[in-house]
Amino acid sequence: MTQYIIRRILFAIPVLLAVALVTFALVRALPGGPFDFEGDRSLPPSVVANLEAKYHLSDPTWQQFCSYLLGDDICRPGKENNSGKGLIRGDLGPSLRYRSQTVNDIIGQALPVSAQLGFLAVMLGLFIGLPAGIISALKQNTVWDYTASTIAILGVSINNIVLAPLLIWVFALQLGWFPAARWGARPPFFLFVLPPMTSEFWTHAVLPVVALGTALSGSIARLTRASLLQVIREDYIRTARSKGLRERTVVVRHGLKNSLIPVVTILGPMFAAVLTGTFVIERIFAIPGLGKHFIESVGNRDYPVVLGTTLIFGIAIVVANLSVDILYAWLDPRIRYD
Amino acid sequence: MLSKKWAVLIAVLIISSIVLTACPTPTPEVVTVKETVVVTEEVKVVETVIVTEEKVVTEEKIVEVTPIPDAGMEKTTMHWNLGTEPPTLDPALASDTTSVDVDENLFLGLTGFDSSGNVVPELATEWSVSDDLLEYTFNMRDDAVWVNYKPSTGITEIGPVTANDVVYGVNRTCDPDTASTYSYVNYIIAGCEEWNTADTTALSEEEVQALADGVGVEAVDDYTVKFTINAPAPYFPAIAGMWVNRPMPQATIEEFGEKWTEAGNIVTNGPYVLDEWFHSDSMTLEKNPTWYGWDEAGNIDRIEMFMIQEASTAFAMYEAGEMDTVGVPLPDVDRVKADPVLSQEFTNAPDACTYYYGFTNTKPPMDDVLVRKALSAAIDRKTLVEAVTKGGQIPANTFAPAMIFGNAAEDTDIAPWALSEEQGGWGYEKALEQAKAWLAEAGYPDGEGFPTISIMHNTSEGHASIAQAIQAMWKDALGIDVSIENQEWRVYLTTIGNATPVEEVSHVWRLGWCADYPDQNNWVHEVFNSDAGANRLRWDESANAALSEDGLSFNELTVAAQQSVDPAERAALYKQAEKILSEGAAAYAPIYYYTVVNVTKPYLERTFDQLGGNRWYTWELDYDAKKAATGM
Repeated sequence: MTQYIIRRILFAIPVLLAVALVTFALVRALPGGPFDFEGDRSLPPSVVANLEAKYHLSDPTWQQFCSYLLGDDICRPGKENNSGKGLIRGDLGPSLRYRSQTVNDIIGQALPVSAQLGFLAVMLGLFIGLPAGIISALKQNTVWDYTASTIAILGVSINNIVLAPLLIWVFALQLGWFPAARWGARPPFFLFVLPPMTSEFWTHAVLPVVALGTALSGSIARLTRASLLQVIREDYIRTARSKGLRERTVVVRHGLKNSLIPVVTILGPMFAAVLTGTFVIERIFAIPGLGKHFIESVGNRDYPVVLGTTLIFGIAIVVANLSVDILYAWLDPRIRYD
Repeated sequence: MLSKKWAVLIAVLIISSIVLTACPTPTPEVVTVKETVVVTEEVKVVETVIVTEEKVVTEEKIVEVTPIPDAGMEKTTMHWNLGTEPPTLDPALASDTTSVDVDENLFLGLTGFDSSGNVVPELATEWSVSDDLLEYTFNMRDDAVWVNYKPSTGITEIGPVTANDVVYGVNRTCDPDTASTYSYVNYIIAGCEEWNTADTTALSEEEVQALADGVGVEAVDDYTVKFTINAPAPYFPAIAGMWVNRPMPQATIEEFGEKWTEAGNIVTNGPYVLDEWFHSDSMTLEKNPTWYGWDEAGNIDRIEMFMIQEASTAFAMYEAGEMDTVGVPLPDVDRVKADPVLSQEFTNAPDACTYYYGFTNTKPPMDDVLVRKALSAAIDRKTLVEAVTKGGQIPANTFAPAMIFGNAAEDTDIAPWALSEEQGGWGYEKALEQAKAWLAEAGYPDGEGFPTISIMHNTSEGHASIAQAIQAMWKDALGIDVSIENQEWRVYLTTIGNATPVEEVSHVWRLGWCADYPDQNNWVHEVFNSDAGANRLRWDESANAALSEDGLSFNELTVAAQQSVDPAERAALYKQAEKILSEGAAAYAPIYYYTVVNVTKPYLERTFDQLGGNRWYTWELDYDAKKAATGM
């Protein structure tokens, strides 16, 4: 297993390099550069030239990518304004939009907040979605099933853009139970990611976590129900029952565990997506997460931020999928990796 | 075995939750820091700071430390929505309204604007201009000081703000290495353009130094600064006070590089100091007790600013009492006006911006001035602002709005068909008749034979609504077909730029313009002069054809007005230019002058400056009333 994990991590390096290269090429293919315009006005060519010289955008494209990967000292020796150390030394470059911040600064501040929101939302999604799916499957075609299925479908169907303002209106404006917006924790965080467990944090977290977790719980519940229904019709379940095992044992030990494999499969990308930033929820609740940087950096043509956030997302996907694959082996001993 | 695995899985989830919920967190730095300050700084003292304590200080230096208010004392605090993360607080680099707003409260300029948009003294007490109008001399006050604020030490006075700081600031903006976005506004200063546009990599150090020394700004003495400019520019005092020309703290900038604007590092000289800056989340300013102007200013001690991008969220926070004043989102305008409480808090204030539709003047059928005039006249601006934009915007017949020097806004001599009857114009019915007549004269009676034209706008719900309304107006009034396209902002700006082949540009496109400084030079000249501006109208021939009463072309008019020394003559020249733009050539269609659509709690007494921007140091907050109203 250790060998397998090491092999997967080593395989991830060329994948991430390919992601960087493709993203680098795509974002530069977009019309409009980062400094062509300010607001409604075109900047004079002389000003654009100064800005491009400062950020090395006037270098040949191959040299820019080389600098991004390996650093200025290796790829543009002897030239002016050499400061970037390159991806290999953990330097993701400067932000072209936020002039006093580097991409490392932005990700260091925003990623933990997104991860806190995403983790809590997935936990809520599992907490609601798994039992709802199980009840729905075991009580198929009863009022329990119909109720749980309806709620799950509603959860999936109601868009965050609708649900989030609704939650604000009901619980912040009408009832006054929770703040309307903002995140109740600010960096620096304990171990870079753990928020303070204050009432301020929790009261601010409730509405965005519910808004995000509800949609996740709907997906989890529907998948759990479908998977469990399929599994409990398998021959080995019938065999288990015929051996006289208790129904609870049959369902939990033999049925549920096997039915979780598809659920775990979607949990990987789901975790990666919500841990690295959820644009809509973060925007509506004014949460300083990574979601806005994912989206706005493209609009701003902030090349280093586009690359940095995409790489972070790529790393999250790789790690999440690796974790899922490891969980597979644990859930189903027939799966081997050697 | 199975149950063990389940137990492990559940345990992992539980432990994860417990860890997340129970881990102790470090005590917030701010709290610790403020307690320290109370103990150490009870009185105003003069102390000596030794070199090793501050890297920026290279020799023993006298600084004055001012106690910050008692941490336990309540501060009159305003809650404000910045709307977005300021891209920078560096005055040389700022180019967006958010950054400039904060900078206006942190850094003083030689001049400033009053709420009516007039240029008034700030750091300068007075200024004079030479007979040839090429040298401006500013005498500065001597009681402005640089300060640094750290929660742990309070406010430390670094030293007086001198003419050398102004010279450094101006030079820094002109320096190509600074890569200032707004450096081009300083091209009026002698030598600035030469340095800013030089390829310094191809020059020797001596040559670069000569360019730097050649910028027309010098410190005559500690409190007198002299500018030499390239051509007469009566609006120069406004430019001298712009954020890019603020005095800047050289030692701090050299010590911290691009991080000099971070909280704790930054050295400022304005009414407020930067206390905290949590990027993309919030920023807090504290009153700077060393600022000379507090006796005649407002009473706000502390401003807590959030970066809420979603207008509806900010408005919800206002309704929940978490914000003291915010903009009103368009979908809420009707509700606010109908609400007995909110309607009392509602304000419409003029703003120095104009919304307009540009015509691609060389693309058929837009190459016919009669077509352009017909299209402009067939826009029912009054209905548009009342039924679509709803924010009390003012129907426009010219480019520059009322607060700009040389404007001719709502002057019925110019395109009266664009104005409503209440404004003294023709009103839409009469305008429509004329529009139909112009279109018929152009060869398209009742729109017959008129090709389908396109309106393009950048992606936005508001711009889409306006385009759809105008599409319907043109269809109903003139019988012509119009398609609508939209593009992402930067793609859009590239598309409508003059480098795009004319056949790929839409016939009509939208843009807006807001004031940098309150003079028509910043409007008709910088935007529409086809030699000086971006020339998105593509109107080379007509712009240079004699169209004015005295035989000058549009381009010649704006240049003549730029260099004239007689205010009355300048205003007259600009009026002629506006008449050509909107009526003679109808090169574009002005739509409306912007307004600020806002709600403000009754306990806050604020201003709406005509040039935009917010001078928080002039506002008054009744803190007791705020506490009573919000239950703080």
